[in-house]
Amino acid sequence: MIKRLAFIILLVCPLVLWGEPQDPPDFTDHALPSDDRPTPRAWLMGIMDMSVLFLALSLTSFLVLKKRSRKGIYFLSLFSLGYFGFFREGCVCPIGSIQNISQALFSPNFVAPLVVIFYFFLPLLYSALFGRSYCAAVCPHGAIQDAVLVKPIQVPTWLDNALGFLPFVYLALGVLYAATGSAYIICDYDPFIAIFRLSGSANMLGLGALFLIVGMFIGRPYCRYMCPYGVLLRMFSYVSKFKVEIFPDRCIDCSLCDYSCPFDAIRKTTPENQVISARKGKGKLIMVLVATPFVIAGLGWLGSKMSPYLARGNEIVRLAYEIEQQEIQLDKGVALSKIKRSEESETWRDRNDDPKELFIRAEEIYGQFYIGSWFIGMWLGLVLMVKLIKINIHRIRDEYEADRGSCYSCGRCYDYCPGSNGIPIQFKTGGQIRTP
Amino acid sequence: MGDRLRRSFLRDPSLKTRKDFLRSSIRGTSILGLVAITGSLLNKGADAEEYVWQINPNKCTECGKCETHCVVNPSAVKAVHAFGMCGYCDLCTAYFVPDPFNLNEGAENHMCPTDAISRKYIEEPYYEYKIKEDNCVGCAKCVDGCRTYGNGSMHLQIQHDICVDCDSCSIDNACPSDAFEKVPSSNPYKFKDDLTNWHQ
Repeated sequence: MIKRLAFIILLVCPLVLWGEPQDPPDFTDHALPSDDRPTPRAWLMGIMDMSVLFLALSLTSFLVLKKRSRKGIYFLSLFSLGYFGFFREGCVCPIGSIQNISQALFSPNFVAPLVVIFYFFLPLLYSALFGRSYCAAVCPHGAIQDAVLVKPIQVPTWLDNALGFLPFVYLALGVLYAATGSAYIICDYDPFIAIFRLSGSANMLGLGALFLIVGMFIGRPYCRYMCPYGVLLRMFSYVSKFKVEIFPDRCIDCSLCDYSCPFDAIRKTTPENQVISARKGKGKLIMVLVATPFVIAGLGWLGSKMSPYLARGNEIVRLAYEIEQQEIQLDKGVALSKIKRSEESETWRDRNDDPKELFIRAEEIYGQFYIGSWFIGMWLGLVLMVKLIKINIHRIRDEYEADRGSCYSCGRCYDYCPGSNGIPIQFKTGGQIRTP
Repeated sequence: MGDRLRRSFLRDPSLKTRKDFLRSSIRGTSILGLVAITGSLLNKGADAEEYVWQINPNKCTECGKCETHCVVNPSAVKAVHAFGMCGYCDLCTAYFVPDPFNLNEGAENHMCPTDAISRKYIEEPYYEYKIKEDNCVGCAKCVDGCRTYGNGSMHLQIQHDICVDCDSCSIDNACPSDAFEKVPSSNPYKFKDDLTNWHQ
């Protein structure tokens, strides 16, 4: 009996047009279960995230500039690692907010949520006022790398300079892919997010582990050679109102601060035999200045040549390209089943959409990529030339100071500096201050 | 001339140099620019509604990537049952494997790999099926079974108490059928038996 019934039902079910909602059977004594679904997360969490960020930034700035306490900074960074990293699982974060902001700026119907705008804005503002407080003890990425740093070794200057170029490239690509609505590559390839979430693909966990192992010997590899938000923080930090100070009047040129810094952020005094007169370097500087517009234009052109490869990162462009190839094959008389097809193109064919529409859409996105890659090239040219100009300006430095751009305000040098922590240096050197 | 030397010549360490003046004017302009950008973004988002991700069940092809690609583990995508369009079949092709040994609750008959569907007798000839969400991992095997032979009342939905609402949803990036859509957070589900959703 049951089998026959089942057979009948099996026969009847497909007859009902699939998908059209229909009335359920008339039960004699049974009500349909109600299905209440949980609503999206309340906005309260957003308020909490914003206030924690504000408080952490303010406290860090206080600890860095007023208290000069490495211990305080360290413990605060552990808290941030716990809250922003493992509790909030690394999302929302200012590094990723770059992408929301650029998408909101460039595409007309995309809106960035308030929390994201806040996360983008506040660390930059603090950076313009107090230096890179965000990096010091708020950023979970920085905290996890700072925590594993056991035996810092110095990166050769040439390598440091070369790798230091990468964040600018990464920032440009991140903005391009987000602005065209293609992908959020900064989030997709974030090495630590898999660790914060304690789950993720083997590749991502492996990348995270690699960064942590490298980070045991090279201070903050992600921050120095990857972080796109670090580029922005660095720029604002160059003009910051306050910064990590090695008190000039208490400095005894002991170079302990330089020794303590794992990030090569302390600028040393110019050795006497390396003092170059400003006039001597002028010829080179003029050459660099003259070359600047040409380099920028040239790299822009080179960038535009890259646009077909960059555009392949967009799924619509990729799909359009594949469909186009398939159509060419079909015209040649090859059967569709003989062509190797991706899942995307199969579902697209199932939908019976108009290929013209797809091609127009892809063409439009490609146009955005073309303009974008011109700008990327020019931007990288500008960065390169500014770096060259900086190298060719010879300034005599007669005091140790923390570099405004590269200093993460971690506070390690405070512990090492004999003149720090409020102990007057006169006391230590027998009342004599060395004059330059 | 170095900075320290300059200051000691001037006999006043707090004296402003040309560099300091340049720096503070650049700082002022850049903060102004930052505030302007932020203001325009806030203005743009002032009266916009908040959006969250949801699966359009009519586009979904049950490829199984929802189970494997979500950043939350197990996935924030789970099967739901649109009771309003279920046939209440005895031989439910979402519940039973094709060609089951018996039409009963025996484990060898289950389609679901995680025992996430319960079956309850109501009255002849009707059976009711419910999703046990704690067990469901969003593999969509039941969805496939129900849509192939049944009414298609089982379908996938993102559960918003689990979803962390990444701006770039990694299942969306992997989805071959473009089924992920942004929906207003005030009405965050697309149920198949919800007629208001149906005709959109």
